[in-house]
Amino acid sequence: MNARAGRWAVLGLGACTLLLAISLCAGLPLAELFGSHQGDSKLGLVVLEIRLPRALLALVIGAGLGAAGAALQALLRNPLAEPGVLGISAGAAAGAVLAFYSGLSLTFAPLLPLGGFIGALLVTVVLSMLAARATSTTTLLLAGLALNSLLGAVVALLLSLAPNPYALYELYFWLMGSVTDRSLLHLALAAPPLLVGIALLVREARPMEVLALGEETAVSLGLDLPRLRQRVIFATALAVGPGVAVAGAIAFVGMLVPHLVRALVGSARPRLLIPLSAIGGGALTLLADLLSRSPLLPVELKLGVITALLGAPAFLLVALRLREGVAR
Amino acid sequence: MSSSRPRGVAARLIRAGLFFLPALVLAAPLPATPDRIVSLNLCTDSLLLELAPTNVSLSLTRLSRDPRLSPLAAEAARHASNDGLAEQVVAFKPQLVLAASDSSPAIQLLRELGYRVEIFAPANRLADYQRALHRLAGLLGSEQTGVGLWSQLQERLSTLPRLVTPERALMLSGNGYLPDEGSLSRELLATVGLEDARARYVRTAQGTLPLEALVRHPPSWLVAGIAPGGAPSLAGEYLGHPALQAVFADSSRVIPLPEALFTCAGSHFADAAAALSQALVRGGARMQP
Repeated sequence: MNARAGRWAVLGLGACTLLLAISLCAGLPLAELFGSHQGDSKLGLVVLEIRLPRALLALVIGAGLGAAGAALQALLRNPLAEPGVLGISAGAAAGAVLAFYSGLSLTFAPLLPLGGFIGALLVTVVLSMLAARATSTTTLLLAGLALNSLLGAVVALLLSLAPNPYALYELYFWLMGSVTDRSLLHLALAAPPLLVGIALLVREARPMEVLALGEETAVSLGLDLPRLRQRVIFATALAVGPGVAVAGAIAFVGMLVPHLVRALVGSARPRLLIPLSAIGGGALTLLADLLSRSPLLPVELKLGVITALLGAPAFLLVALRLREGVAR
Repeated sequence: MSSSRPRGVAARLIRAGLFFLPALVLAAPLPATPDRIVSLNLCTDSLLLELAPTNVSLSLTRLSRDPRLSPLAAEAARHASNDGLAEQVVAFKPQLVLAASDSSPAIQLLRELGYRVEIFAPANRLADYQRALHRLAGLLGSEQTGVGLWSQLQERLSTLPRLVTPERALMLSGNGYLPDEGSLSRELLATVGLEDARARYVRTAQGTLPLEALVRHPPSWLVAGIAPGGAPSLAGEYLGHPALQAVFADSSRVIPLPEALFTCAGSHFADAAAALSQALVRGGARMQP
């Protein structure tokens, strides 16, 4: 890792820590919080049981999305690849919705993140099959867009069939994403598989370096491409699915962050990009969650609304640049 | 002369009118009560089930057959059902259509087609229910039933034990949704002597209450509107949050109450109030008979 990347990594981790501290204490009477235990015992409850799971979930989920975005962009050699846009998050939501509303996850809670993982895995497999057929950037994005709409509709369908009066209201949660009022149980369910997924993606970064030279060169250098592809797909699903299963589909983090990192660090090497995007994704999602409940807003927004507001214009910008590049 | 003639004609007409008036009243067919009625709203379904004579054919919304939404689901299942589509209404050939608001396109279409549509807004307080009973009973010719229903409800409510001193309570629906200011929930709480704490909290854009606000400033009693028997929902996760369970360590302070009992006004409102009153007794509140 070069010095510039190192500095940004430290800075990113510092930002995460600072945002975490703000997220835990914002708006609470600090004197009471850190003073003697004479104060309101409910404040401790708020910090530990409500704010801590919320903030940590935002961090890990964002880290998973950032790492997955960076890995997908490298694997599919497509700068617009991202779990949300390509329908991987929607697939995870469909899997999680199936596990949750069928009552399966009530009998055995880990089935919820497992459902999210399987949903994400299926979509990622389909996408990589499409990409392997040497389709163009546009075709892959269009396919992802179609998958995204299709699976969003599947989520809506499953919720409409679920015999509970709140189902349609809850559709909003699954499609926009939010970490509001999630508990330590949700953290315990999602964080371990997410962290494993992120670690696997970081480990696959080294072989992915060779991929940047082009697939043929990489294979001639001894890269087992199908195996690499399988591993990255598995790790991506693991870094995205369980997060969606507890917080819904949060869009654009995985696209925005790798581009920011590339711009800041001045390098597109997966070995730097994937870990730094994990850190950046965590920081960005935590920041978005803070913004979503900022007192400056008249009402609390869904987290996914903020990330889309930040990410969608960036997506457009990158897409336009890409087109200029093609035209030249 | 010319001015007196019309007067004379008018006078004669009036005399004739007065003369024939009793006969006219006797001869006119009694104001026809409709014998085919379509209801397009869960709450008008409920009103019809309470008031309509047994010989009237009813088409009710499909929702009212769902026991999670309607306390009269078994009765509703004996009638035809509709999904609120104008097409279904026309096929039923009703003489009267009941709806909760004018705003749906189906209502406008039905009016243009010449159907008689009567609007009964959902009751936000019991006084609205009394008015609705009176008006619908008038349309159906079942005034006696209407008056009887109202006095029975009043009687049942008046015998319920209520709190000696008011205590603060908050009514929450699934997903931490706070009912609207103008819903029956406030009156339900008041019936047993509970004070609605709703105004002390700020709702989110989606109308929900942030868990944090509830944990930091818990009311004495939390009345949770539930829909028992449904599929799992995120709605239940809100109340199951560990922080909330820690604040309400005394679980008798959280009162689950089937929401269907007070979504629409009706005789079942007394069942809701009775259940609430019993739960307060179980929770150790000081009550007076």
